[in-house]
Formats: sequence, C-alpha cells, structure tokens
Amino acid sequence: MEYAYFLGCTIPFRLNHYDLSTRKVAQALGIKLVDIPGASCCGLQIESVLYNGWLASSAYNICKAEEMGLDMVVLCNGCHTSLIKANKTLKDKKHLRDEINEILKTVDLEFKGKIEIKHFVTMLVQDYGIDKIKNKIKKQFDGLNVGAHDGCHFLKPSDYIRFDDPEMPKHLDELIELTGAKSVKYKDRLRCCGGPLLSVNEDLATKLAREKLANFKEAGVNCIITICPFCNIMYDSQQLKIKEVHGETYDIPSLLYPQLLGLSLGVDSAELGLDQNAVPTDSVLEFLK
Amino acid sequence: MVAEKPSPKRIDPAFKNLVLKEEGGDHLLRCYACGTCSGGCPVAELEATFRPHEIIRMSIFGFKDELLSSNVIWLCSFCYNCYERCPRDVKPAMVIRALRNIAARQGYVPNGIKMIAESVYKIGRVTEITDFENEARADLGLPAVEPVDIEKMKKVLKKAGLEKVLPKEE
Repeated sequence: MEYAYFLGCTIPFRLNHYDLSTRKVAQALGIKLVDIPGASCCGLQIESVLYNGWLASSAYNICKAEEMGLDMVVLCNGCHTSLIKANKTLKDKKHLRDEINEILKTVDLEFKGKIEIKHFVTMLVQDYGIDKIKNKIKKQFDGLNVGAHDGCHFLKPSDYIRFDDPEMPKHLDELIELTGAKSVKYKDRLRCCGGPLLSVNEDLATKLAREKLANFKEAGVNCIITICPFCNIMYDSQQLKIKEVHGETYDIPSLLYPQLLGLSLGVDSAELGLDQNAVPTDSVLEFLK
Repeated sequence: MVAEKPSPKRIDPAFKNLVLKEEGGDHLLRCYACGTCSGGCPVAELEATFRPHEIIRMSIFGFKDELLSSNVIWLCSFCYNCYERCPRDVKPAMVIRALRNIAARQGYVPNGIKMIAESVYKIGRVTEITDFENEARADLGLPAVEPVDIEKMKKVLKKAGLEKVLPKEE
C-alpha cells in the first residue's frame, strides 16, 4: 500500500509529533507514505476571499499526486475537506474543471481526476482494515477513558466526504477501542473546537474550546484524541493558555490518534513525539499494559 | 474586533442576484426562514450577533452594505452543521462564503484573514518552513519539507485573481 502524503502548512510548522507518529504507525503497519515534493497550501485559507484561488490551489496539489500516480492521504481535517471538495467539484463540474485547467496551464499542469483523497484515519478503516490492525496490536490500554473529537472537517460536508455519519460518527471510536481504550460519551461531541476562528476572533474561538474542555472534564476523560492539527492546538497548547488567562485548570492530555495507536502497536513512546505535546502525556502511559 | 449587529438602513433588491451568481449562493431563494441553521450553530449559541438565518434573510432583502461591511459574516467557523441540516438545502455556510467572496472584492477582509492570504500568495503556504523548522524536523528524524515552487504558485494564484482581493504588491 502506497500513498502520496500531504502534510499541509500547520503540521510541519508546529505539530511535528503528528507527522512523526503517523510515519511510525504507517511503518509498523507496512504502509508506504511518499512525501509530495513542493506541495503548497491546500487553499482552504483563501476559500473565503477567492473561490477560484482555493480551487486552483487544491488542484495544484492534486495534480502533483496525480503525477505520482498515487491516491493521497492527509492528516489535517482542514486540508481533508478542502482537497476532497475540490477533487469532487473538479471531477463533477466540467465548466469549473475547464476554468481551473486554463489557470493551471500557465504552469503546465492539468487536473485529470485520476485519484482519490482520504484522511489517514479513513484509509486505516477503508483500505487497510480494522481486523488487520487488530492482528498487529501488541499492547493494550487498561482503564483509559478517551474523549474522541472527530472534528467538523473530518465528517462534513458529508455529500462530498461520504465516509462516516456526520451526526453519529463511529469509525474513530472503533479505532480507539482497538487499543483497549474506551471512547466515552461526553456532551456536544460534534461541537466545533473553535480552531477556524482563531485568526478572526480569538475570544470566540477560545470560548468554544473552553466549553469543550469543560465537557471533557465533566465526563472524566483521561485524555482527548484528535485527528486534526487545529483541534489539537485548541485542546492542547490553548489549554495551557486558557489556564493562564482564565485560571481554569483542566490537565487533560490531548493526543493525536496515531500517538495512541502507535503505543498499542508497540512503538516506543520516545518515537511518537509524546514529549512534544503541550500538556504532559505521562499519565496516559500508566494505562498501557 | 467586537462584532456589531448590522442595522438595516438601505436596501438593494438586486443584491440577491449577485449572491445567486456566486459559487454556493445559488440556493439562496429556497430559504423559508425556519431557523434550523441558527438553532444548530455553535457560534450563534455563544455570539448574539451571529444568526445564519438572519444573514440569509438580509441577503434576500438586499441589505448589501450592512452585510458586506460587517464582520458578522466572518464569524462562521464553517462547521457545516447548517449545510447538513437545512431542510431546503440552502447551504447557509456556502451563502456566507459567497458573501465573503463578494465582500473581499470590495476590499472588506478582516486583518487575520488578509495576512494569511498574503502569506499564501508570497510563500505558497500559511506558515513558512525555514531551515529552523527543518532542523527541528531533522532532530526528530523527519525529512525536510521541500520549498514550494513560489514562481509557479504565484502564477496560478495571479491568474485566479488573488491580487485583486489583496492590497497592491510593493
């Protein structure tokens, strides 16, 4: 199994542990991830100011994966929704495909519509298979209660993404429970983390994150599991900022899913970047048997 | 930036046609104002000035200036709840995106978003990966991130019209 691996902007800038743990998990499972040379921003961040600019940016990166002849795997929910939406839009709507190809012609690229784009998590469920992962589990968590946060852009818009149920998602829970951890119910699981608002209105973004953190705390989770750099930032590094600014103490570690799975696959904790998370993660390791 | 509730003063009934023409704005007139979008909106719950159904109604009536110059249209987090749940398939989040695109062409873009768009135009990414970041990656055994072919990316974004919604290049 081989995929073109799209990192996006935020992960190599401030969440290398997400990248690192994903590569280690892929290695342990025998999945080959090939970096896309010269990949740019997926375009999501300019979708609000210029629709065509977003579509052309996404297409630019999709073309690179098409040239590699590989389906694309992404780690960031933002890139996920952006690239999948662009890929389907360009496959379905000829007038937009023509318009974007006219733009891409200036750099000798052409969108051909040859590949599929998936989140790493989707790939694990759809292509690799839960049962196959189960066979590779070496260590189980015992008594670890996890608050799973899928993130809006992993699930929606569901007419483009077509993977999990946007109102009652279950795949992330299945993946979490493979490790022996329990994905517990908590209030407003589907609520936005606030991340997309950080650059426009930090106050509002923080309000959303504080509500979520209070809900995690109320449910008594031992750790939060996210699959997106922005959601992770809101619950991890912003958790410390919230403590400083608002005096609210949560002390809930927030892990990226590949960090959790990696531990269960027997990958050494030092190789999963667990020392890079903002909130200390030692308490999670105590549950690993 | 504190959100201010737009106070309707002047209407332009033709404004809806502008929204209808924009990508994602084409279902605008289907709205029968049930309020499902606002009911399920995480931002509306915390921010009294933000009500997607009001934004839709104002677009239909033609409160053009109030909408385009207000920062209310920039408060949507694009969680897509309204998009999933709207019984009339209005796709309120996409109407808001359409309004933002129109606003951007008229020079109304919040600073945070303008700065990000400028970075994408100048370096092809939101955040620049310098030697410093790549050294940190090397310490973890991660491969260096290759730079974006900025000349190519700029050509693409220029042809798409990004310069027109950004302040003039120096």
